[in-house]
Amino acid sequence: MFRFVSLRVLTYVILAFVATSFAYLLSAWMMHPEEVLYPPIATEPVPPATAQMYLDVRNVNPDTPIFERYANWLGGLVRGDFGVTTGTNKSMVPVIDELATRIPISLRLVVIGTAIGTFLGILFGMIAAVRRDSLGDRLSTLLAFFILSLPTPVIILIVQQTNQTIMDATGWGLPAINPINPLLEAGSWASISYQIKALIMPTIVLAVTAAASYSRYMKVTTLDVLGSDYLRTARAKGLTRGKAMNRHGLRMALIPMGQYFAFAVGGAFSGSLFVELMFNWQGIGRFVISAIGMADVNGTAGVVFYTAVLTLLSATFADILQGALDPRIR
Amino acid sequence: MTNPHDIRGTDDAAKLRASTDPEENPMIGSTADLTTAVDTALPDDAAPAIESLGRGELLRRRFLRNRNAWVGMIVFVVLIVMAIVGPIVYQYEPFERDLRNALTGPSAYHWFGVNENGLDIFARTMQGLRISLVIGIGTALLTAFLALVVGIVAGYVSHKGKWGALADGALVNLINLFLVVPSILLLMLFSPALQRASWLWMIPLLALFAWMLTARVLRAMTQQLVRTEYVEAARFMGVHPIITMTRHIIPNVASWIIIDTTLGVSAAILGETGLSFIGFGIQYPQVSLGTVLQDYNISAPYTWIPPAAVLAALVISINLMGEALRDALDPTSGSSRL
Amino acid sequence: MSEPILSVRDLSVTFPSEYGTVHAVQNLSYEVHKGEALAIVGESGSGKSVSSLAVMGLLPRTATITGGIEMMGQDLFAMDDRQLSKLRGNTISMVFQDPLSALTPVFRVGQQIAEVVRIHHPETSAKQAEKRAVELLEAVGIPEPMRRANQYPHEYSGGMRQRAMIAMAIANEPELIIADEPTTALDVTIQAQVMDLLKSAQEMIGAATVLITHDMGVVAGFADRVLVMKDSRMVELGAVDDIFYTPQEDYTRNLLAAVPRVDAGESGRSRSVAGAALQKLAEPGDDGQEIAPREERPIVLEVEELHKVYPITKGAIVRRKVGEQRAVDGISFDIRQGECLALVGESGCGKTTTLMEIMQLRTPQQGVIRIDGTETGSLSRKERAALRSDVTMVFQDPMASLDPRMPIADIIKEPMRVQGYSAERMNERVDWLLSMVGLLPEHAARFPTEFSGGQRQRVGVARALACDPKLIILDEPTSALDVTVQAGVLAMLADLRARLGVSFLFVSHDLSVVRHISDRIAVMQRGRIVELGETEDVFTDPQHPYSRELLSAVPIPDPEVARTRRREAIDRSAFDGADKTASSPDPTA
Repeated sequence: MFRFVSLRVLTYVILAFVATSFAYLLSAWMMHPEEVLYPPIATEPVPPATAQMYLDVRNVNPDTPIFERYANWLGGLVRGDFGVTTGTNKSMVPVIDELATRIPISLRLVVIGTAIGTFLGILFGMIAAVRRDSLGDRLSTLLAFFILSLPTPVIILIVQQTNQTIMDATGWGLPAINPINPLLEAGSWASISYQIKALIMPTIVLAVTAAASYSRYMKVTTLDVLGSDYLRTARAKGLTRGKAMNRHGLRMALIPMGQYFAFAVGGAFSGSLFVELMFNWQGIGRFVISAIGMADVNGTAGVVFYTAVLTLLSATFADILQGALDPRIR
Repeated sequence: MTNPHDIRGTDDAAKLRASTDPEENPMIGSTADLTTAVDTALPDDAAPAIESLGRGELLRRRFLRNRNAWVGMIVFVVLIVMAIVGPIVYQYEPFERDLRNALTGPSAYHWFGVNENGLDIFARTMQGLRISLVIGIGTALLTAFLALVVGIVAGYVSHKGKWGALADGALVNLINLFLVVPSILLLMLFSPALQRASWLWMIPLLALFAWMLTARVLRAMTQQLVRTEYVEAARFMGVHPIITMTRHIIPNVASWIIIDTTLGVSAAILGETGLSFIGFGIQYPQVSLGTVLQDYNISAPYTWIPPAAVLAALVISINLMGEALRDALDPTSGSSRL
Repeated sequence: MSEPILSVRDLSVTFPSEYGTVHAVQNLSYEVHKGEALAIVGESGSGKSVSSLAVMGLLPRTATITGGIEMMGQDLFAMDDRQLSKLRGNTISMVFQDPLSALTPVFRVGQQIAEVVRIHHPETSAKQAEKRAVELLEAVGIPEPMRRANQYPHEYSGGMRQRAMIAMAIANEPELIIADEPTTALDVTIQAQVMDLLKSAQEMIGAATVLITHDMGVVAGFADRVLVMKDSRMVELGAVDDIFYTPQEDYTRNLLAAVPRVDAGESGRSRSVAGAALQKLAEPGDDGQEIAPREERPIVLEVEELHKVYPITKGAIVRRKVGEQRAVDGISFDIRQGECLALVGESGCGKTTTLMEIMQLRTPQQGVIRIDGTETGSLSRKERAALRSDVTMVFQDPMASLDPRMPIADIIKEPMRVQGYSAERMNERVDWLLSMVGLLPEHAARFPTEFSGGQRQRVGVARALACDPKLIILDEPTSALDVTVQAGVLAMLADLRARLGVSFLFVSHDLSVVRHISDRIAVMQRGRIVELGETEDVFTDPQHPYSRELLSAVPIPDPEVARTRRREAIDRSAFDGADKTASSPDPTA
């Protein structure tokens, strides 16, 4: 078990490292912060020496060979330094600080959304399989089908529009934008309840999309389990249909689900990107959209690193879960 | 054995009788005693042999019997006709500004209304539908090709000794590498630069980040096929590996690829509209359904509901066809991709 | 006779399917009395399993069931799932066919046995139930039951899993045990042990038994009464001796005749036409043809000191070798022209590895393989490709060995295409080959799915014959077929050998199958050939203890003979252990 998990973790670390390196090299190669050095309103050109220094200090000087820049960046990475923001953002904020303030905001969304979505998906998928062709099965399958046929922005628009309609009609609704209300006193009950209310809609969006895809997978694996010999044995022992499913079937059906889970966090990240944009949350998603938009090499690489670590952690978690569920791979 | 498949033997027995008729068959003549003995054991009221249906014919029948398949096909055809005819007959261009009517609802002149920048929503939606269709279909075809090559090669070589396993391992890790970082990030990185050249670059770009899961499945399927006795038989006959792949493996995964490509069209459309929505997809001189959605205004639902409805109808119609194909291929499975 | 435990009246089961309603069981009626063993015999698709699942109430929901099933006076159809669950595992228990998949892989075997105790005796503590599980495992002959109870099913061998299933079935001393093909998936020696165990367990707890099987040999030693089923209907029902010695129906006679017998040599001519045909064809010399003695014929295949060792590695990143598995451990044999050598052994003995080593046509790890005097290691690419037409193979599974997407003609042409035959010649040969194996030229355009298992195997043979091979390797060619079909395929193979003078290397796990077709037999155990000799010699006077064990394990379809052969008994003291644990110390401890 330990050997199995540690080997997998090592593979993931290597993969994450290679992926992040690629992302850095790509963004360093594709983006040109030096082109946005001068704001359009600047009246006279910056002296060349100043410009050079400006670029060197941000490690984005195109005259420095790309691999040297990469080596510099890597050296910083080892010390926990991701460099500073570049591009049109001239304030030289350390990327690590940006990540530190934004990760909690995004992670809250991703973790709660994925957890609720996974739970609901597994529940509905199992019910749909066990009660196949019942009204519940048809409804949940149909719903999952529609949700998976809609792009995330449209789902968000539907949720927001519904909220808006209710708000127009009743005068009461959930806050549509911003995770916190800066006007309220921090730590006060009003502020906390606002934060909780603000979390509801984004979480619904992420949970619903996750649940839709999980329920489909769960239905398939559960149907496999339902046709299995060991479940028949369990029933021949005297377990009723439901008990046999709970005691023997559920665990077996969850084993293949572990693998789907491994890369689902990546999907949740993409979902959170739209959510943050449309609900105006200052999270990682928004940051990376602006970072790529303004040629921020270090910022982009930092976000890629974060997502790689996130995938790595969820994949490891999936492996541990699988190892715990299935004695055969220990 | 609880499944009805077990019951197939009845028909088989009837066929066996048909083929072991001693008179038709001189070789069996020497064992005539045996075969007649078997024959008499077969009752005359054995279940009538099923009509011999080709696999393709069976698939087609099952597909056409499915009501959802018809709904999907009709909607899809209607949308294609709209995409072709719409921009021709409509009087406004996607970038023609009518600022006087900015942010007004549907009317006889502006069928879907006008957004806050004075752009006609119907004209933009139809233009976007064209682009989305081209990108969706193009990407799905390219994705299927990439996945087919990588998946089948990886699956085929994985059992061929040490080097084969090594090559397979490298390909698997390549697949995983693409999965480690959310592809939307890398798409965002590449897309703006390539868009400057042509919007068609969107197709290879989307395909580059969409083939991995399909390739993984194809690899697993190929591995199973390689272990089957008929592929082994081909190997023992000295059939060249490439011929084995094209003659034995690809035909046996073909139906799955067709389904996956169908569903891949909708996946590509979803990916493209998402990317365009956040401003990293289709750029200015072109319009995609994603860019149309970008101009949404919550206080004016007509700014986003028509393009969203067209988009949903498009994706749902494709998915309906894909699902019906899958059901036709394997009535017992309800499996699906993300 | 006492009151019946189980009575099935006019049972019919139908399933909806793509091609209309499938009648799985039609108008089946039988009774099982206390302590009696009833065998339901039939070939695949005869509805025998479906009928027993109907008794258990475990048919899928799509099934439509009519008729009546009464268990000790209670109408089972009137009960809901909850009430049926009280009966299942307690009053009726079941042993399933495939022990590999019948146990939940993620729970310990001990837990799974304890579960059946606790379901019906909720008052038992978890600890007591675990203890009981260990006793039951001991009773069914699992060594080190304490340790084994804590293992998972994948750590058990097939035979042990089936023992564990039997332990589970007898745990609550049921009135009726249904055993659905309990030994089909097992090796022949294990099969005999498991059947003996099942019989003695049944006798010990005095339960009635319904044994479902396709194998008449198994029935002979087990059943009191036999019910023969065919195409979803009952053919014949009678006492075991009546069925075996004076069968009334033709189908029963055919079923009996088609069973290859290891003892057929002694009992003289088989009683049936089918058996006679089989035997006649097995002796190529019969028709007066002159055949040179073995020594004068050229050697087709020669295997010398063949070794194949698989390393067992541990450690994921740095692989180090911790041991090795000697799959093939220095075997030598040769096959002369027109000869049939049978390679017999149980699963895992290395016979498949040997075949693969020969078919690779490459240098083996150690040892030499010569085909027609040419060493396989010394071949150039071109020579190897040419040699592929001389050594061909017929596979075990007729479902898997033909590409379902190719018409029969293309399948048979494939090897000829590799050898560069002209299109005309190929078409000619396809017709000839099809008639050779007893199919019609019209079949050439059809697809494999339109054929039965036996016919597909004939296509497989036709493909193997396509380029006039010198040697055909047959890998268990009949083990996936029903007995009556098997007899036909064996007869055809024997005939082909006599007519074409091709050599066979016939691999089988079943001694009775090879008796009539092989000239010589090589018995293989753990990678070695333990005995190699003339077929008759091996059968009449086996030298090696393992050969004797194999021979004695083959079920004989003769109730009188079979009754004398039972050996293993259940460990009664261990089974009784739990009933008196509180009062007396366990005598077997």
